[in-house]
Amino acid sequence: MWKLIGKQRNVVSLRPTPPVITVSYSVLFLAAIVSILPFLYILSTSVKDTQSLFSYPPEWIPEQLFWGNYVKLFQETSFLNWTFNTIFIGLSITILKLIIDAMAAYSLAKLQFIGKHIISSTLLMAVAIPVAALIIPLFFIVRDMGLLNTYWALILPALANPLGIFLLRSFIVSLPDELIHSARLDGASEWRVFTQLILPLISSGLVVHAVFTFMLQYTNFLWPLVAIQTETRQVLTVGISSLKSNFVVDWGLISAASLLATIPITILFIALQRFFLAQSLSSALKG
Amino acid sequence: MTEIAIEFRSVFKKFDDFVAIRNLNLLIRKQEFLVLLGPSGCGKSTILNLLAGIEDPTSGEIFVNGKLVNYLLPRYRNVAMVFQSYALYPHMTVAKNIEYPLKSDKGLSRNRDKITKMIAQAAELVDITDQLSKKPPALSGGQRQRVALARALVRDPEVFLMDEPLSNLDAQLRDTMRYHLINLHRKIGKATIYVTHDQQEAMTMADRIVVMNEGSAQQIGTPLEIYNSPVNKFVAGFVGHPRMNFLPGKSLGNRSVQVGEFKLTSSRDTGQKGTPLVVGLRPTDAKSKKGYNNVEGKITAREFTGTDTILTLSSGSIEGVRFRHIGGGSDIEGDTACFSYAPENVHIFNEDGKGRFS
Repeated sequence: MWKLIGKQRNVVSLRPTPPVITVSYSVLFLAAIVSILPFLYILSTSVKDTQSLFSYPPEWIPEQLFWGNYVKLFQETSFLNWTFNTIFIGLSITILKLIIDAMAAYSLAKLQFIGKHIISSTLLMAVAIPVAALIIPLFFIVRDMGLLNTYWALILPALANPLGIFLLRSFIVSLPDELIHSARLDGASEWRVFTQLILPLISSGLVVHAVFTFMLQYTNFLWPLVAIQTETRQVLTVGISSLKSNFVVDWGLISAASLLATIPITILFIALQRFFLAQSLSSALKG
Repeated sequence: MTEIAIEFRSVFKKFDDFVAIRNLNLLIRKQEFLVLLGPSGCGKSTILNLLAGIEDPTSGEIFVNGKLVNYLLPRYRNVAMVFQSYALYPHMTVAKNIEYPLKSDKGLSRNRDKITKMIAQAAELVDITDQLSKKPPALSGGQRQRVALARALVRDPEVFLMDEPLSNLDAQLRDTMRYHLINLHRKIGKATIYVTHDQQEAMTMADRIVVMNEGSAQQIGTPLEIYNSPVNKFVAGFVGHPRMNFLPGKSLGNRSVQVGEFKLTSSRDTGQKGTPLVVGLRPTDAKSKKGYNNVEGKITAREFTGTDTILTLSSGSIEGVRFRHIGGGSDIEGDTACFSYAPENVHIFNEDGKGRFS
């Protein structure tokens, strides 16, 4: 299957032969189809009326495109509110988390202070607790603070997740201490070291953290379901699920909402994939 | 009276149980080029870190220009440091790297023209004017070195600290940079502390050398003093290439010693008759003919270095003693060879090697 290139014995360059290439591409093509099929199905469902939804044999492209689901979504539901809420909360959490986590990561990675190890271990323990186990105590805390049904109910608990600190810490630890010493000797205050040296040097880490955080918040379902009861304050995930009533499921409407909900996150990913993929590759190639 | 730039007064530095610096007392004059020489882990870089404020001393006092700096943050000490890895800011251009130390000067940061002029001057001093728009990853090792120097030079500090700045360069470039550094030091005339484990670098560059071992300054002196009058076995063995031969001997009194079957006379005191001693003979001090203090033996190994040949001799109770024979020589292994030593080149140390008979 694999052909040894070159005549010298010490040459280990392997180049795949045409059959291997064919098989590889076939597998990749199949994987791509499997990934894209649900999207196509949702797209197809979103432009069908209730009758053609259940027609037999099913048709992928309806004879007449039906835009009623989209009209209904914007006119009869709070879809725009949900989208705004989701993006606003997602962005707020992402920005605040980047600031807090980067500062915490810097101090844990490069500064010396009493109690550093205890704080580190406590944060690490907090990572290990499953979110579901925290829901009930968190509900009581947020309720007692009078924050139920507010944006803060969704923003504040997310800020306490320490996972990002460890992610950024690993980026900062890999920076040589001498860089920081040099900057301090060059007259830089700790704030300047952090903003002018550390942040630019871990920019790819910050992008990874930002994308992960935003995506996590964008798809978060359980906590918003518990913490927000007002329909107009709800986020997309819970909002879309609420379109399903007890007796009737309007699949066309749900498909239209789901499809539109993927657009912001797709744009975000396409815009940042340059940083994102470069970072995954560089960490993959390091070792 | 010569002005003192830096003073270490009874400085100790401990890392948990490990003593990195042991009672360091050191005066460094303004305009002096002082080299800290010693093996890895002897504490020489720690001295720089203490002076720069990167580490705090466990006890003792450090003065820069007569001012106690123990409790000052690095940025208030007015010292510049060139690190072994250069520590250039990889995301900034060379010009921005050089500019960085100037940014903390609030008065200066508004005067753009002056900053540009200062960057140009520093770049010119180290000859990197044409590299200003590049970023460090695009530079060679030698160029990075120069950028690090320019960044240190630009704000005109009181003291320069250099932590093995040439150790990442190849041998040829190191020679060039060494020459360049000495010239630069003469031009700017500021106190410089230079850390190295390379004795050749130390000997060629230093006004004075501090030989360090296990956190203690073993000897402080000019290169000539260190080479000609090492105070103990460690200094004698560390400075000089090939390494000094150490042979066990016994005092015969009257500045004479018995080493194996050979009787050697030294210009140094040998103590009372019968005192056990260690005799130090530098391979490079040997004369390849019979003379005053002769050591004779069979050649067991021969290393030709180009300009000379290092012969290893064994004789009776003495084994593996090395001597330098200038030129190629026709001796082969198994031949008998004889070397002689002038009395001033016969070094005498205590039996434990920790001191010398003067």
